[in-house]
Formats: sequence, structure tokens, C-alpha cells
Amino acid sequence: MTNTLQFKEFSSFVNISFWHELSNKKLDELKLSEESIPLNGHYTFSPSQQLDPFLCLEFNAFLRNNVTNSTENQYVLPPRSYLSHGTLYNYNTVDDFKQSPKIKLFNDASKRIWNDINNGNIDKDTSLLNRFILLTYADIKNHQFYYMFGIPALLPSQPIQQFTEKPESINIESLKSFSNQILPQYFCLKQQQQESSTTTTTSFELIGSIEEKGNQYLNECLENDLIPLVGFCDPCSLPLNPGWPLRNFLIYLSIKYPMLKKIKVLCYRGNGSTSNSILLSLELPSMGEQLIKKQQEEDAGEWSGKSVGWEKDSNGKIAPRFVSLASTMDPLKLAEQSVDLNLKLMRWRVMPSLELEKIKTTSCLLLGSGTLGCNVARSLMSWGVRNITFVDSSKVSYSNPVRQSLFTFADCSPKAKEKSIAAADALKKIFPAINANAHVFSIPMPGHSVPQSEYQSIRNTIELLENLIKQHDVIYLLTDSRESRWLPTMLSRAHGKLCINAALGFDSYLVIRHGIKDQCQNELNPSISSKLGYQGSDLGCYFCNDVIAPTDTLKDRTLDQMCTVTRPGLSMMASSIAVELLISTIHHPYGGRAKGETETDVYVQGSTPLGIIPHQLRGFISHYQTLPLFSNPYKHCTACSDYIIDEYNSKGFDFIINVMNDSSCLTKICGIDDLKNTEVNIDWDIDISDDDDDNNNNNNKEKNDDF
Amino acid sequence: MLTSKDFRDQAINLIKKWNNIIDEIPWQWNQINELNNESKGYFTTKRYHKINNNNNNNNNNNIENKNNNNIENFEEIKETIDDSSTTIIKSNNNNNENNIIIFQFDIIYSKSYQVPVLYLNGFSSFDSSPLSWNEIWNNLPLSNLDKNQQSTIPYITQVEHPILGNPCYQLHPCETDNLMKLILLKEKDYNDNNDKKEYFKDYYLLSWLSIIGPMVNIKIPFDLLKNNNI
Repeated sequence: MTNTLQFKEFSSFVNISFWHELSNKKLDELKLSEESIPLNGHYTFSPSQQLDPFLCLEFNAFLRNNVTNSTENQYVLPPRSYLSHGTLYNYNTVDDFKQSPKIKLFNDASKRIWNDINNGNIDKDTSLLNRFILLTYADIKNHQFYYMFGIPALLPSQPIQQFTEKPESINIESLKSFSNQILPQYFCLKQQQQESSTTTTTSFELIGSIEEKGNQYLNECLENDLIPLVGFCDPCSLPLNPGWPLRNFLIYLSIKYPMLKKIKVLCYRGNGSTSNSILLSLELPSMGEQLIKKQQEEDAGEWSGKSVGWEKDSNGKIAPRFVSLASTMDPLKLAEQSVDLNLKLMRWRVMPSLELEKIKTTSCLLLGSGTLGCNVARSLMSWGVRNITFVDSSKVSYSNPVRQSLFTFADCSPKAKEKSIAAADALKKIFPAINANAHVFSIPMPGHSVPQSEYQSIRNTIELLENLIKQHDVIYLLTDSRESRWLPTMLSRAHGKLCINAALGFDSYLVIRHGIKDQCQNELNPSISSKLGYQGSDLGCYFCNDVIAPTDTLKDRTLDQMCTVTRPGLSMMASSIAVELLISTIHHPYGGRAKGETETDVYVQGSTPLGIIPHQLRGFISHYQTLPLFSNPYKHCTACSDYIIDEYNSKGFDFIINVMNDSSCLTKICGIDDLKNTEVNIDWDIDISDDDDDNNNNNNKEKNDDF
Repeated sequence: MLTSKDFRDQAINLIKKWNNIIDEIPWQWNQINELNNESKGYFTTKRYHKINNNNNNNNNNNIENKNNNNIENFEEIKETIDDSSTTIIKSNNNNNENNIIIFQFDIIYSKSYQVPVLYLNGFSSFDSSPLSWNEIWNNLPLSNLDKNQQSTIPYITQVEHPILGNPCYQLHPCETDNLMKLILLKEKDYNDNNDKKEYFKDYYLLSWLSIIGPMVNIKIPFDLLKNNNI
């Protein structure tokens, strides 16, 4: 009984470096050419039965082999690998790829093998039996590649049969002589037996390659009526099936030696402990005679047989394969991964407890896109913050770019861009994965009267501002005037958002994080930045040290005084501290409810791995000094006290409008006026406050620091 | 500190011995000749690894399959029925095949750090597509170390391959020199003899690999270590 021999197909493995090289070649050399290009592929032994035999293409597939010029790079086979000759057909459009004459190209490759067998080329180089074609469409812009492999195997008229029931498994001891040898792709060998009293030991020894010894050996076997023993290096490791390279080898033998009827084939699979070489006993096909007759009849020697070998997909269909390298070659994604990985460098090398994911998901609203806004944004982005929203109402002027680091001259001329929009665009240019948004409006301010006709637009602006505050985790106050900070301070307090305020004088700055009230008392306002709302402590805000309401401080200012009366380095210093203060707060388990620390001894450990978390810092550039300070929230504060928040919660927009039109109502609502009334007969210098001395000292000092 | 010449000499010597001992995918030395007559090379190999997380791989394949539908109305090629191929067997193996990934390792000398550097990439054995970072990381022994230990191991970042130019991942070399000095110092403490120090330097590359290799599933043959007394 005979059994049909079944061969294991190749699977392709195309290294990413091949596609990279093809892209470079197409851009630099091929351009729109669609000429075929020779390729070098290779295969080697498979280490596992679970793996298909791989036909591999690497970056050097385009190089020629047998190069005589020693300075030119040439294709070098990896160790214990065997050569496969290929042809690349690269198409410029998907339609060309679809309409390419695939069957003809495949048949051409088959004919070439057939011709090489008959004209004697195989006698000199058996690697020509292993050919493949590769059809590609390279969508370089999107880093996507479509491809098809065809690996032709000439078909005999009848399938090849085994004259034993199944292949014989060969133990590695009998192949010991093959160790430390570089075996040819196809070879002939002899089998020796040593008999002792109890056992028969078999060993195989190499006679030589088919190119060198094949003709002599096979003719001798025919003369002596012996079954010849040949071998090949088999990329397959299945116990019952040889690999694809055997198919054309058997065709070659049957054509060249038509009298040869039976043959034994060693499928050599290496000498490793898990290798499982097998020995096949085959009846050679009789196609040789038929094909010879056909050849004589046609007199042209044209290939008239059939062949198979298109690579199939997982459903067994012949279809294009697709590989997308966008995730590894897309510059946008490369930038994003690199930024992330470099932040992780800090964590891995210095500080394992860094909360990079928290930082990444924190969204920041920047009110003011001037010198502070630009610099705060740069630092936030450097820490990995991905969501930044700018708010500003003004446009970039000629004096801005030298101080405001996100702007360039092009933002002023020929047409001045809105600052917030220019800032967001600049961030995207610097890091495309940033989610930067911009809004153009001015913040309603106490003491800036609102005409009746503008009530609706002011209402819309307030609603927009409130929605933005709700949507973000952290609110940065980076505006030019005091009173523009009042409304966002009040709204942030009402919605339980962390608010960080940075303000500049000529040679001093203030950075303060506003307190977050105990959330148990106000469960209607859940806070993202303070999940442990019942723990920690409250803190004072920017306005807690005032006993007067914020009012219009712009009336008496000249244009030059609005934003330029400050030493240039001050903004970078204040901005970096404002950002670092946020990062420290993020790392505290209580978040925005972390109490303010004032420890100045650098050897005393702070509450987070990054050090202390101050409440506020005052910097004095004249003496290059920074002081951490602390103050409790003032229960009669004009911005954050319960009186104000309750008034807002009950009256909403009407309350805000009243404050806009007459800011003095704030001191009445929060109770400062009542305090004044109870002391009507006492001199102003006498202590009229219930708070401690620190607060009074800050209070007095605050009067002299009009930011 | 390792010189470029020592790197090349030790690499070629190591490859020769390693490839003789074991029957895995062998190491290969790739010689690259530059236009300016400067010559450089590196050595490379591949390893097959059974994947830990099936879900990621399946998701990846689903994405690929969706994208593959971009080629519509593709004329079907009808091939002769082939009784001699193992298509049926392939469908049985298909499930296993999806669970095996291919790692490629390149070891390249760094001029700036004067140390060897390991570059790696991961591919699906099914269709050669590059793996996502998470898929690569989850299949490296590195990811099994606990959080505290991670701060003491080399850090992996995505870079451009210094010779081939395609994206890949590297174990950052910034700590390699300090690491190797510790090993050298240990030898010196053990034996102040200069010969001992000289002896150790000859095996810089193998010593480095014996530390880095296990982190990324490069198994060094025992015979190789034994024969070199490391």
C-alpha cells in the first residue's frame, strides 16, 4: 500500500527592516519605477513543531550576493540558513496591485525553474530550485504594505507516493557525523550499519553535495540497481511531512534521471536535542517521461505543466496580506511614545513612586495666555500633562514674543492672532499628541460695570467660564489684574476645583494654591482633584488677606504698566513653581486638601516623595530668595468664604452682576462691613480681627503688595 | 569600558562557539561597510516565544483583519488542487501559531557609552506584523519583576535602529558601564592579581550577556559558561 506524501508550505516572515528599506528605496531610487527587482530570501531549521517553516526577508534582501568589490555590501546568508531566490514586483497604486498579471508572473517563475532544470543550471547551483515572487503595494504615506508571496512548486502528473507506511524517525546519534559540518542544501549520503551481538547501529555519513557528487553517486546507484540515499536541509519539523524545498528537488531528480524509480530521502533538521529528522522512502513520479515527450512534441521546451505555491491566509484563501507599521513608523506616534518613555526614565531610575498616569490624565485650564500662561503650559507639557485649555481675550502684540515663549513674530504679523489660539497651536507644533484647546473671551471682573444691553452676552461668558471650570481638574489664574482672578476663584471654590494662582510684581512673585473645602458639607460638588474630601485641611485663597473688595485697578494704569513692569526672569520662576506645586499636590494622598508645609530644612523629609507641599510661596528676585508661607482661610473672605459661596449658590448670575456693577457689596455680604460697624469708635490701627497674628502680619504686608 | 575592536573580536568568537553548541536560530554577524570606508557591524538572532496574553494578540489580529478589507474586489486566484500540501494540517495548527511571537535581538556597540547595547523588536509569527509595546513588555521577564525591583533594571525606550534606521526598542546603556565595573571590582577584590583582571576583560561581552540575557529570554548555553569559567 502506498501513501501520498504531503509537504508543509512556507510561511513568510518579512522583517520590519525590509519594509523600511523598501520605503527608502522607493523614495530614493525606484520612485515610480515598476521594474522587477531581484531579492534574496533565506530559510533555516524550525525549532518547534508548532511553528511553520519561515521564508525570511531581512533589510539586506536587496543586496547582491557574490560581490567582488569588498567595499560594497553584499548579501550574506545567516549561519545554517539556505538561499531562496526571489523577484519583487512593486506597484504604485492599489489598482495596479489588484490588476497585476499574477498568474502569468507565477507561471514565469515556474518556467524559470523548469528551464534551469533542463539547461543544467541546477547541476551547478541547486538553490535555483527555490524561487519566490513577491507582489507589493507600498502605501508609504500611511506606513501600510500589502503583499503576496508565491513560492512555486512544479507538479508531477501524479502525487508522489511513499512505499513505506510512514516516515522513519531518525535519532540524533546516527547523525553525529553531521555535527560541526556546514551541510549543503541538497546532498547525497551513505548509511552504514554496525552489528553487534544484540543491536544494530546505523549511522549516516555525508558523501557530498548534489552539485559535486550527485551525478556520480546517482549513476552508480542506477548501475548497481541500488536505491539511492539523498538528503536536504528541511525547514519543517512536523513528524510526518517534509518541507517545501523537497518538491522541486524531486522533480529535478525525476527529470534528470528518468530511469530512477525509488529513492530514500533524509529530511535533515539539525542536531539539537529536540530535532526530529525523518527518512522518507519515495516512488519518484513518472512525469519525466511524459514531460520529455511533450517537450519533444512541442519542440520549444516550453513549460506546459502545472504548479502551486501561493501563500494562503488563515482561511486557506489566496489573498493579499496586510501589515501596518503606523504604530512603529508614524512620527506622531513615535513622538508620543518617546515622550512617555522618557518620563518613565525618571520613575525607573530615580523615583519609583512617580504617578505619571495621574499627571497625564489631569486636565488644566489656563486663564491668561501671556508670559505666565505660556511658561506654565511648557512646564505642564514637560511633565506629561496632555490636556491644556487656554483662555485669553487679547491678541499677540509685537512686544509679546520675546517674553511669551509660545509666540513668534509670525503670530503678530501680517495679522495679529488671538493669544489663546496661537498658544494652543504652538503646543501642537511642539508635541502633536497634546490636546490643546483655546477660547477667546475676557473674564467678567468686579467693579467693571455691565450695561443692561450686555447682560445676555455676559451671562453667556459666565456660563462658558463655569463650564470650563467644571470640565477641568486644575484652574490656573495667570491674568494681568487682581480683579480678573475673583470670579474664577469663587467658581473654583464653589465646584471644589484645585486653583493655583501666580502673580508677578516688578521684582517679586506669589504662587498660591487655593484651599478646597470639606466635601462632606457639600456633596453636590464632587471633586476630581480631591477624592479624599473629608481628610486634610482647608487653605486660604489669594483674597483671604484683604479687607477691601477687589475693584477696578486698571483705571489709573498706563498701557505700559499693564503687563511689562516685571523683571523678565520672574515669569519663568513663578511658572515653574506653579507647575511643580501642582505635581507635588498630585502626589499627596489628600490632593488639594493636603495641608500647607513651611519646612525649609532640605534634610527634613516632606509629605510626598517630591518634598514638601507649601500653601504659598513668595519670591524676591532682589535677594534671590523664595519663602514658603501659610495662612488659614479667612471666614470673611470676599472670594472664598461661605457667605460668598452661599450667596452665589442661591442667587447665581444676579449675584455676579451685582458684584460687577458695585464691588462694594462684596464686603457687605461677607461680613467685613459688619466688623467695621462694631468698631466704629475705635481707631483703625487697633487690631479688629479674630484671626491670629500671622494673618494680621500678612494682612498688613498684603496692602503694600499690589500685584 | 569596552573598545570597538574588542567588541567585534569577542562577538565573532562568541558567535562561533555559541552556534556550535546549540541548535537554535544561530547568531549572525552583520558587517556593514559605510561609504566613508568606516566599517562597523553587529550581531543578531531571533527567538520564538509562546505568548502570555491571548487577548491582546486576538485584538491585534482583529484590527489587522479589519484593515485588510481595504483591498476590495480582489480577483481570486484559482490554484490547481494540490493533494500534496498540508493545508488541512495548517488549519489545525492555526490556533497554536497565533500564540507564538518572534523576538529579534540586535547587539550593537555604542561609541558614546563604549558598551554593547541590546536592541529588540517583537513580531507576530502569524503575519510578521510588529507587536505593540504592551505585547512586547508583557512577554519579557522584566515585566514580572515587582515595582521596587524595576527601578534597578535597565530601562527600555523606543529608538531608531542606529544602523538600519527602523524603529525598535533598546535597553538603555546608561548604567551598563557601572554595572560592569561592579563585576570587575568584585574580581579585583577576590584576587588583586592583574592577570585576573586581564582575564576578566576578555569575557566582557559574555559576562554582560549573562546579566542582560535572562531579562529578555536570551538563554545562554550552559556549556558556553562552563567552558569559560564564568
